[in-house]
Amino acid sequence: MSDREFRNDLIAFIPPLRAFAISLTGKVDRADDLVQETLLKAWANRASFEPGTKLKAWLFTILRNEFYTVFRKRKREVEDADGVIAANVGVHPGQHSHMDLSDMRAALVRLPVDQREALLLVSASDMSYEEAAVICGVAVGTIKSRVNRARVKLGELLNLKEASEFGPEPGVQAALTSKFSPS
Amino acid sequence: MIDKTVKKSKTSEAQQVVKEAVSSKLKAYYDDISRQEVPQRFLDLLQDLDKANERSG
Repeated sequence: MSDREFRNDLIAFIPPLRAFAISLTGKVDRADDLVQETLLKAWANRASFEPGTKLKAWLFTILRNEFYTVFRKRKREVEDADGVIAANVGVHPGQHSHMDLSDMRAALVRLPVDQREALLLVSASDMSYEEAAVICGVAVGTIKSRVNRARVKLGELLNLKEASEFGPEPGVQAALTSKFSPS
Repeated sequence: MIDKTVKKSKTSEAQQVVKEAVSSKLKAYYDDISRQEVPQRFLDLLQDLDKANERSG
């Protein structure tokens, strides 16, 4: 693979990398810093990329490692930030089922980080359980269980539970029944 | 409280519906970000790297 081809492939993967980074961090500026670091590292290490293997998984691995390097340094700061966000999300007594994008972003950062990354890789980034397991350095079963717990927790955070437990918030009910007919 | 203990009595069917709803909302959110235009800073960065490479190589 020529450098030019490699560069074009990198450009093609910027949108999925950004989506992963923004969802992982909850912050666009921090996410873009992560993407930039990822691109720089990928370029610097392009000789060690084995053509034929999946570039996407390779790039996601770099971004994830970079995230944890920064995350560990900023752990305290991140937790504080999560607390602030947590105070602003979750309970919407007067609000109907309308969920805007910032609700999802805020809910995601309230997930434990190991569950968050597993969910994002498998349910949003189109990675297989096996690929996600390699990227996260854990067993496939661990990824499956994290994704499962993340979905349940995210449903709670977005108040989606109410639709099934306590019945009908009109919009949610409509959204659910339109897509999933009861058996 | 949001973090209340999940009721054991809840049917797995209802749970499945919630999981599917979560997944589809997550997808919608994710696709929205993915469709955003690539920030110019990244294109400039890669352009510069490629040029630096040509000069040195």
